[in-house]
Amino acid sequence: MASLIPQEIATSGEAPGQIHGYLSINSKGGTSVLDVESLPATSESFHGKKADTTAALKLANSSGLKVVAQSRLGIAVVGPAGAYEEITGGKIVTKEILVYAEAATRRYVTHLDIVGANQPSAIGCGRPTSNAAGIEAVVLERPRSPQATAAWPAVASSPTPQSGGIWPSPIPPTVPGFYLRVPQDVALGLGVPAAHQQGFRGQGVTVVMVDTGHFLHPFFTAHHYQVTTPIAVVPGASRTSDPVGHGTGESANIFAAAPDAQLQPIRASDSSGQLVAALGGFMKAKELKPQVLTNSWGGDLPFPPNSNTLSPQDAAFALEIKDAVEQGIFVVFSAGNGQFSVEPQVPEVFAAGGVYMGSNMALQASNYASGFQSPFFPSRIVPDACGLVGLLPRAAYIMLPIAPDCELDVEMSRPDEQGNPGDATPPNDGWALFSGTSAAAPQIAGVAAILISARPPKAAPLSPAQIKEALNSTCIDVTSGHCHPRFNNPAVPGQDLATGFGLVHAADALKYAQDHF
Amino acid sequence: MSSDYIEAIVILRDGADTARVRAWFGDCGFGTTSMHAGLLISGSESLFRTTFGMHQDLGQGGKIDTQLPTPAPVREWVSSIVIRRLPSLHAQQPT
Repeated sequence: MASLIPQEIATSGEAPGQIHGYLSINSKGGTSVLDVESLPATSESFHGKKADTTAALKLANSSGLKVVAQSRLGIAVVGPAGAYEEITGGKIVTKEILVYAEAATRRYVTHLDIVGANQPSAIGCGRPTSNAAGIEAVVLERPRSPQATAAWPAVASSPTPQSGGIWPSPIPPTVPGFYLRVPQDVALGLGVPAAHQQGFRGQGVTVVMVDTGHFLHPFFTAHHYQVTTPIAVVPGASRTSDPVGHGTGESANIFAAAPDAQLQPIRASDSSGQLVAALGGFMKAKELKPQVLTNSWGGDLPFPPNSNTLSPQDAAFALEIKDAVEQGIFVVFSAGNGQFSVEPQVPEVFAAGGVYMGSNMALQASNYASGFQSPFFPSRIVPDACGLVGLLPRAAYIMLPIAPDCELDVEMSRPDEQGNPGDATPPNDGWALFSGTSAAAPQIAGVAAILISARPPKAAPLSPAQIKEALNSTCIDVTSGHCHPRFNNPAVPGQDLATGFGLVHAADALKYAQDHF
Repeated sequence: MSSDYIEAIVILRDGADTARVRAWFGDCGFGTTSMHAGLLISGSESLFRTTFGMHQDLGQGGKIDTQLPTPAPVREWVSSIVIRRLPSLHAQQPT
């Protein structure tokens, strides 16, 4: 059956520690439940013989499965993935499958499957090895939802999900005022369409993003974006959730520029969403040796700093960043939203600042974005250049997909502490208006992926310095507005402390790289 | 909200026996990752308290760096141990 979004997506999520399942005892009638085409009038031909039942119970115990209950047909069991794998010789994997759930809408639900040689195609079913005496099939428990009237979150402003619809919707909501949509408006503002028309869309390029996690929003699947199951650095943190929504939403900016890139998210947050493992996440990212590594976070120090020398711990991290670039990884850090961070100041890094594009495409420096001369590294200006970022007070500028009910979904829907209004989206719809230089970094990472994907197969790879030169040399100069009031630098003709070289332009940067390298 | 997971940078002295320092922290139960200028260690709050002192300020969620005392067995090679300030996400303003 045709579907607007994929019905099933293979992921590499972790199986739960204890899995409920069912061992089907060899049928007296000789037809395995795996081969049954229609149910007979009675179940008798599927009853097990006493000897087989005894053997099946013995098998369950020896494999490490605990018997929950038994009948004439089979045994309900619970145990670790390894026990099922031992019985079937297959491997337990996770799959996201679109199923009807609350309020008759469809959403992705994680299923377990047994895959491998001789395994049946039916989800959650396994065929035992010849050594597994007494049983003909293994069936893993499928996720089930209560069949009573669906309880939809009772929020007055919630949209009413339409029966049969997909939740959360891959299509963004419409709200009053001017804002950008992904992918089309962000792509337009970054000069991306002409690069796509040449066939360069980030194909073959892996972009790693260290952030709060990644929720498999139907927006990504509907667009057929390639997202690898996140790696979680903090022990016990889920690989498939994003309590803040930051990593999920901002990653959509990568695909706005590079729809064919492969995204590998690294979750560096704990269960509350705090970025407690940023260093570990960055180190993990380096190990993966991607072509592009984007980071939408950073610390904050007094400005101007008390000393023009980095602390040993900042120097240690700066060295790691420098080393990543020396290994050929194009590393992007966001410049900050008024923060004064060390990370984007590392000279080899691409520091991503902010330019605001209005409804008539007029450009000005974003007063939400940091811009300054580095006191630590001589002649280093942050940012190098800019992506698209909103304005104070909240930079509610790009409609981005996030996990329903996550921190940003709720927070951005409400007025802030100063009374600035919310984004007019419901607090649980899986969409919110936000940006910051957190948006600029993945946008520029996506543009870098375009340049890398355009490299002829036998040519030497573009170096990070070459990519930086191509991007910086072809920016649209921005000459009005100021950066964040903490630094208050004006945008003027040429390179400046508000926007660096200006707004990145993908097609021109691509041409520059093709002509010069 | 504080987290149970903490990471810290161990800055080594010139000529330090990196392998021994790494092994010592590893034996204590920390996750260890070699850095160019030191060692990244990570573990639970209780492990940090056991190693560095039950009443030690661990700076969780803090905006400034927090220095930890250097355990005696590695004092010869370790210059400092610091829990780096928690980064903020750059979708938002500094708070």
